Amino acid sequence: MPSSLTSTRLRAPVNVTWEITGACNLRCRHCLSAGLRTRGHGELDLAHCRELIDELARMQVFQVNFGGGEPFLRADFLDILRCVHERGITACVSTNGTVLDDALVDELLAMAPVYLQVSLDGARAETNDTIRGDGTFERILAGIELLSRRGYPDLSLNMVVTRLNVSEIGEFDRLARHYGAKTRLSRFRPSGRACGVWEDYRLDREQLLQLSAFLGDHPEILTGDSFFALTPDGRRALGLNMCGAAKMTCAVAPDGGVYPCAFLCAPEFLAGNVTSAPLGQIFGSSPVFERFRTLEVEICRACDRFSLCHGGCPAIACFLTESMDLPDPECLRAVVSGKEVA
Amino acid sequence: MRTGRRSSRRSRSRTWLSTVSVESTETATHAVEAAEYLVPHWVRVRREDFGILFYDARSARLTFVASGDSLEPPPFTGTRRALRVATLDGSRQAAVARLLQDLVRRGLIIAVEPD
Repeated sequence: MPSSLTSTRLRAPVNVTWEITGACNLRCRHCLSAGLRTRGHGELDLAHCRELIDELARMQVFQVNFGGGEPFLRADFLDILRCVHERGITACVSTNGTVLDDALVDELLAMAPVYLQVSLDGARAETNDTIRGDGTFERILAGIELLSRRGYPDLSLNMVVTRLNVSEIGEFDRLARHYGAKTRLSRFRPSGRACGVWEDYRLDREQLLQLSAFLGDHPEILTGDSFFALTPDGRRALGLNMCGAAKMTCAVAPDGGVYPCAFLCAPEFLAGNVTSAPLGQIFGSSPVFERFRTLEVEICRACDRFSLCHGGCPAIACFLTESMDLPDPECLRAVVSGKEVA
Repeated sequence: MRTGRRSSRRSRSRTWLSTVSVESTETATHAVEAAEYLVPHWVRVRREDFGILFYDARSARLTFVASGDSLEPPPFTGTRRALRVATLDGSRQAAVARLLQDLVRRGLIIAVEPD
């Protein structure tokens, strides 16, 4: 019942993306949050983090997705993770896998379930290393091998699909299976440092069509609602089929800034800061969030795929067209007809 | 790190259940009276304006239940969390009973027969 879903107002986000730190030991060319590192005003200290977790529990947020930076570089991250776990909130951590060791895996296993997602951007070293840096393929794979050897139960490998690695998706999926991990594919979006490589990394028309077909043939592959604008009918029941920004989700930056989603962390989308107001208050009353909740891509209403995407990703539309009221340029109808925004 | 990916398991699928169109059956009505409905430890449930919202932590799957005020979620955490079912008249009770059976089938609640 997607029409009901789009008009439904939730009392709290289903999940919150929390960029827990701006610190990172890699310099990936498509990092969506590289800007946060330089723009931010420091990081929330542990006391503020605990306050935020109490607020998340009060709001009954189901899941927190930790990102960064590299979360495990933050010295008190395990304390934060433990605190989330104790409040009954599901914790997911996106990591580059390079700082994992046996002691850390012991801690994570003791807290199970902690869902780990390791980022790897190709099935081959030369592909991944072009994007994530020289030598990173071997370092990331060492982390994955460690988790696999320890029988880590809640593991997925994530690849941001770009022009450089799209031909390796099948191989990547086999690699993930080899290590007992799920495969997750994420959409490449023009946010943070990725803006600078958008034209070089974005998929072309044929690649978008190939990807759409591949996803249709592989419903078991996770996509995190990334590709709902491109989703074939066969995946209709697998996701929300709409942008969840400010409705189902929101993002908290390292300094406590609150944004509609992790891909919309530009200053004009800042809704508040958790050091000044409770997250529940920001989520419920921010004019920035209200704008997203009432956002309608009018031109898409007549499309036969409207119930599958509701206009697509506003972050991409905003970057490419400077308007959130225009359709996602990579929607399947536009791609098929060859009318996508160049 | 932190590349175009947005963190794990955001891909939640969803289902929308409603009490509006379910048919009444005596068996189902009896089920409401007979059982206690416990929420397993891997499931979270909270109140929303339309009814209640389930989250299955194993799959990150959401289930929207348009139950109005007929079902009351238990506390967010705890060892024995039971869904409270309002006392309703005939047809609504039957509808809720069918809904509860569906939730049991989906693994979102567990029916426990009274001692």
